[in-house]
Amino acid sequence: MLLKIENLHVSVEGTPILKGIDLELEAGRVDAIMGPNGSGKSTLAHVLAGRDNYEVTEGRILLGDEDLLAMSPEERAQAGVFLAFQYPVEIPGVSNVYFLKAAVNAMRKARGEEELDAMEFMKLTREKAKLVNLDESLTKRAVNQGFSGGEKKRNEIFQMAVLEPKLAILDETDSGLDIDAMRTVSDGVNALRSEERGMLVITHYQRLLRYIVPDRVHVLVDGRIVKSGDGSLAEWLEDTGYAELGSASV
Amino acid sequence: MTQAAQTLMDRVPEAPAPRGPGWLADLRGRAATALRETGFPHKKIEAWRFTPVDPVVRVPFAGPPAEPPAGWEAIAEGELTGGELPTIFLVNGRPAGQAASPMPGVEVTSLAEALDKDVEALRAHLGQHAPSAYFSALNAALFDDGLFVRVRQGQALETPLHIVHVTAPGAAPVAAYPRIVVAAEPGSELRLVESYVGEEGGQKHLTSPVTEIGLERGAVVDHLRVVRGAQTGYHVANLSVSQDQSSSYSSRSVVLGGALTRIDLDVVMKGEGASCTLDGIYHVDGKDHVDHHTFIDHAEPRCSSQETYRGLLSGRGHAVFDGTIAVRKHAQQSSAHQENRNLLLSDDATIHTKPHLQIDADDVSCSHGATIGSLDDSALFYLRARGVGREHAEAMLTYAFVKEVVDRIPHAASRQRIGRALLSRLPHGEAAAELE
Repeated sequence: MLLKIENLHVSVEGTPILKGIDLELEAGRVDAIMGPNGSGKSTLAHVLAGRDNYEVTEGRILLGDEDLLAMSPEERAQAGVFLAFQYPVEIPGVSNVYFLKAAVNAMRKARGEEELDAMEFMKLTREKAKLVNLDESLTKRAVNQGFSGGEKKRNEIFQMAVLEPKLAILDETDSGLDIDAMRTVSDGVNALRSEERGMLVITHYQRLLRYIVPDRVHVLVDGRIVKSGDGSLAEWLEDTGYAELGSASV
Repeated sequence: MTQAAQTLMDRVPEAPAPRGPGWLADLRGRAATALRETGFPHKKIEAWRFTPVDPVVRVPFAGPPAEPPAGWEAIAEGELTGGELPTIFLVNGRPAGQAASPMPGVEVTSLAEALDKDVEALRAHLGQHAPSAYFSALNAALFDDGLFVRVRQGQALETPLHIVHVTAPGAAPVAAYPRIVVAAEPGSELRLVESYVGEEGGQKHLTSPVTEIGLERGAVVDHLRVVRGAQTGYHVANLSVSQDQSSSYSSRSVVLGGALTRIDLDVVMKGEGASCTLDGIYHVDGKDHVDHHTFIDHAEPRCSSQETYRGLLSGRGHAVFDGTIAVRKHAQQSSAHQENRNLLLSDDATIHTKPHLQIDADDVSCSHGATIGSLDDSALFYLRARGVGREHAEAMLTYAFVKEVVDRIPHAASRQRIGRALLSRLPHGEAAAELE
């Protein structure tokens, strides 16, 4: 099993947000997590990536057979976890290329591989930039600074393509995208589907799942997975809405 | 002197030696009298509130010995600018060797020589721009040499003029009082790369330079000024700039620590349509103390100023930024923007920042702001979530904070060396070396 979440309880500043999540994801599979605002979707994404200020009060998360919660954010990334941020951070003064090269080489070093030199790295990024149709001039600019919403999201998928994670978590990658941008981003994601890789696609809306067709859909309401099913569950939700699932918080 | 000097004030003569032209003797006499009357500044003087100078003025620093002390060349190697540029060295305030023009279009003479000849162009600037108070008065009373730089009308220098000041105490505490006078004649262009370095360890030393720069109509001066502080070194400087019509002055000040570094930078734009850019970068660590006081005077209409100071504060370091911009009543259509941002990297570091606009005109575009913050948690997490180790990520974000200002330093070799020196001072900075 690539990822195993068992009875996960998480609080933020004393308020319980996740109230017992159980989820398993195999490599090669793409699962969607859908839910209304405030259901705990982004909390789950951040806890997986290792963000501070989330208190795990119960449960555990295994990446393969490793205890994910015992690892720092960089160790998780080096072990193959990738979070595509809902709100990619702007970092003035640090160029995209420099940042990504540092990331690639940190991972290679952690895996005992040789670091890439400038030429090899340039070749790699050129190839991957094409995949998501990212304007190459953006790779020379400061990380996300002055990028449009669509460029930021493409940059996330570009990074994912370069870093080739085992587990990719896409946190509301569709938010703020028009249809064309969503199609580009989805094409990039689909090109990265592979037997060695699992993905969790977190979204509020069903529309992204028309482009990234999931193997399974889990519905998160008020910190619990209330329903799981195949891709048709997303369509059913589109028609009926989260309210039908009977949570007072919706 | 009949009695041994007990403090720095004992070095200020009641009647300065009658050397050089008469007007200079007057200038020196007035400065000495003024200083003896006021004494050195203390913490009740607003502009010196956060920078106590007692540790400096209680040392009876002697003037420089006649010959540069042996080993000054080794100290000079610590300076952070230049690279391939021909260099003029001033050791303890006096030119070492020839201070001849290293390039056509510019006249560089030792100040002593220019005074002996009583050059008229010098008289128009020396003592005309700098105030005569406290340490600049001390310099006026005691300087015995320095440089006079004159760029003739319409001449544009292609390579920067590189000046390195070395303070080398030798066997006893020493004070250096270099006086630098720059005359940029109408339509001339000068790039000045100036660097201060002093011995680390050994005897204490004080460097108290006064630099006066006069830009005539349409002149352009770009001035990089780097101070590499020392734990045994005090640097108390005044830099006064006077700008005529349509002239353009850029100052790029870099200060890397020091037991006490204080720079007063005064720019007066006294001709219509002048512009100035004041960039600053400072880093304090250990027990460093760095104080910048800047004053920009918009005295005439349609002048513009842009001031950007960034500070990095670690260890138990202490920094002060006090910046005033005055826009006079008839200086309409002035544009003045001032920003001071500080990154606190330690709980024990301190910054006092006071941006200040004083606007008497009504048709102006002005802004100012100061920030004090720590590293951005979400940026740090973003980098770490991509596999970059915490220490590397912190070094990246710290350097990134000043990088924009470092990148504006026009002389490439100096820019690179300053970038590297900054990184080497930061915790785990070597990890972010390629950012530079």
